[in-house]
Amino acid sequence: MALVEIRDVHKRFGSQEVLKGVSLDVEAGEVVCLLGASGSGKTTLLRCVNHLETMDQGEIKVAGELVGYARGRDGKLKEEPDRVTSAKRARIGMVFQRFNLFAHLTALENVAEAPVQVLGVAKAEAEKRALDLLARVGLKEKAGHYPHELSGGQQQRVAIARAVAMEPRLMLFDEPTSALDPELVGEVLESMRRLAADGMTMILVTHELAFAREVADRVIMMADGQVVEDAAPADFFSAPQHPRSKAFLARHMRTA
Amino acid sequence: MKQIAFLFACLMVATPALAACPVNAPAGLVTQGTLTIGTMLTNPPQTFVENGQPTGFDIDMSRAIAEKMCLKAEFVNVTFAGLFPGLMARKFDYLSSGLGITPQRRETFDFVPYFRGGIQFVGRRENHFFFQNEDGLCGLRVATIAGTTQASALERANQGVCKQKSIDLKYFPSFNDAAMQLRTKAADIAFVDWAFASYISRLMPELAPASPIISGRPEVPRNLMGLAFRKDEKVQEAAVTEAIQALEKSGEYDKLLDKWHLRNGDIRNQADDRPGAAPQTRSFAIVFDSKAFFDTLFSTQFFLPALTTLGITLAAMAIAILLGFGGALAALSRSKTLRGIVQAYLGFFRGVPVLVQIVFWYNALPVLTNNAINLPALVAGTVALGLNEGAYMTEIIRSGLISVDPGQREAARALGMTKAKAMRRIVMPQALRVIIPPTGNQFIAMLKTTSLLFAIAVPEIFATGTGIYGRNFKYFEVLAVVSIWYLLLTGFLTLVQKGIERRFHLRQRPAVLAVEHN
Repeated sequence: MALVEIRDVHKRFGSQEVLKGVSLDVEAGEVVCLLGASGSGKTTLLRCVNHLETMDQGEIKVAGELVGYARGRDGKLKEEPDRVTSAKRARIGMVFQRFNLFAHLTALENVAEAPVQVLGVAKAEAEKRALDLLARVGLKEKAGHYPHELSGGQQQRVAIARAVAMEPRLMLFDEPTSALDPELVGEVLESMRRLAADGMTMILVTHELAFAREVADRVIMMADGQVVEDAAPADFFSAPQHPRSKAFLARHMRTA
Repeated sequence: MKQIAFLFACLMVATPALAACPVNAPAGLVTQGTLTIGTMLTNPPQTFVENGQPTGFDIDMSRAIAEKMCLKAEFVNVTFAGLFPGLMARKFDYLSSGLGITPQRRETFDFVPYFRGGIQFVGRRENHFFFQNEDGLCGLRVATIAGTTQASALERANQGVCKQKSIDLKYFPSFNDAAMQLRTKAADIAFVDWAFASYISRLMPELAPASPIISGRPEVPRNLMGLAFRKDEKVQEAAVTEAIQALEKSGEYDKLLDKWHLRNGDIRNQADDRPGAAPQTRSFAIVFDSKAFFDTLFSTQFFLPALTTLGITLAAMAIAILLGFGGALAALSRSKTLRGIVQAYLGFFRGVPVLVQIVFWYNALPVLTNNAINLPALVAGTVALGLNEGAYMTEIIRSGLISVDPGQREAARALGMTKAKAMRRIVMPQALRVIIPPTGNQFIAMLKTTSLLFAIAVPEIFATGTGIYGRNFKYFEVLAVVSIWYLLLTGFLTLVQKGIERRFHLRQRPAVLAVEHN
């Protein structure tokens, strides 16, 4: 059984249908990159996985469980209680484009907050582990700093440590480097590369094609709310099959 | 001889004009050709409004006085608090507003008696109450106005004969409000001026006088009511005295007493208790009375009112902040009904003057609920201020919450926090930085707004001040002390506010989102 099972997911915002029946499996330990032009629905799909976004049709299971929904007696999906969804989300890490570090907490507190508040870990223990995780992303000496005292790259590395602190079985990355100055991208990608090497299951939306080529196990090409190509990176980058993939690569290889 | 003949000729020419006016108009009137009279037109049957015109016994008296001087009578309607200061400031020639002649008032003003006062109980006719004096009221519910002779008499009885089974005192802004409590059965007795007792019993057959006309003080005769004059303008006083004597002689005075059914008010019945010579010791020059100022400043009589003011402020703000949190969360909720309720709440409480709300909670609610809800003034006032302030706190807290980047909440939710926990741990602490400074300002504004509660006789700082200058007429000195007390309290709150803000900022510096856009 795949760790993530996405089946026929539909989503509309008003009159615009952004996901038109997406199906996808992600195995445990896999790194999957979602590629596609903006508006292709990749970020929306990612946000459906941990139910930050609701779906109109279809279902998504993580580790065999529906997230955000429960199946009623009539067979239809109903939103489940907040408490239940929250508990499931705790095991799915997410890293945002704009970092979203808690502005009123130090780097250390950012990392330790959810383990204490959600998992009930003792504060001293959570802070000790937080310090270890900050060391792993190279930010041990910034532990006492507030987010606005850190660079974008440092903030994003703290955000990765914050997600990892929850010991997730799956991590979602929503364009983690697109809000960064080019010279800061490398340090964030390095942290992600190490996570992948440790065997973390990752779904990432990115425009870093070199990174996708190097780290990903599979590349998913999305266009107009649908998956148009699902291939190994070596095949995808050397011989794209779908015309939309070809156009996308042609555009991005030139600029990259 | 020639000169005498000339003088005689002059008199012959002048006499027809003099003959038309039995009393010479005095010099130095506020407005030439007009007798300007200050009055409070909420006191039937002596001074009130009917069909938009001033009417009543006092009004008729002053019209008759003006007529005797060939002048026009002009009435200026003011609140009680505006009567004596207005007279001092030469806005009127004299006051006619059912004013009792008291020793304290006579220190600063001259009075010409025209009516005999006194106080009386009113009850429901069906009860057949009749008491010789206030000592019979133990255990009953009695409505009257705070700070009056009636209130003093009742409080004296509660200290004395009614110590075991005290009189349940209820204070209202007017005798009319007090009498209305009889109709709603919220009170057993209304303790009012006798003229009002007579008037209301004629107007409402279900009510009846429940005592003889009494003085309110043992061994003291009923007081006289007088027209009040400035001490330095004897001419006007003399002219009005002369006019009243003429009215008494001509029978017009008797006709007016009969017209208003106020026969018991005839001042000639007990000529012996007319006031003696007024003390002439005090000059009327407007000077700062530093002794009165310092005596008031260093007296202990403001301690309790200051605590009351502070207590009301804290309690009302506590209500407001709780309401504000509830209101803000409802305003930001997904439920249309909740949002609608908040909109209605904001619209109503921000649109109706807070003074109206205060009087509503105290006076209208008991009538509306047939006395099921009858809050003490302190509670009613605090609730009214808290509810009103809650509307403003809702807006302050709402804007604090929406100032927090939605990404903060989203990150908290993605980490597995429930909605409530994300609000408590992540959104609220950041919103507080935006909420705290304006809330401090609202605290200080609230402290000042509590002064409106003097309208329902809550013993806060300003009401205490009005009570003091109502007795000694040292407006400026007393208001200066009142202001000093408010400054002390607002200064104290400002210090607290600064302390909280400083502490909050040391730990949690302003959020500057270091976002770089691509």
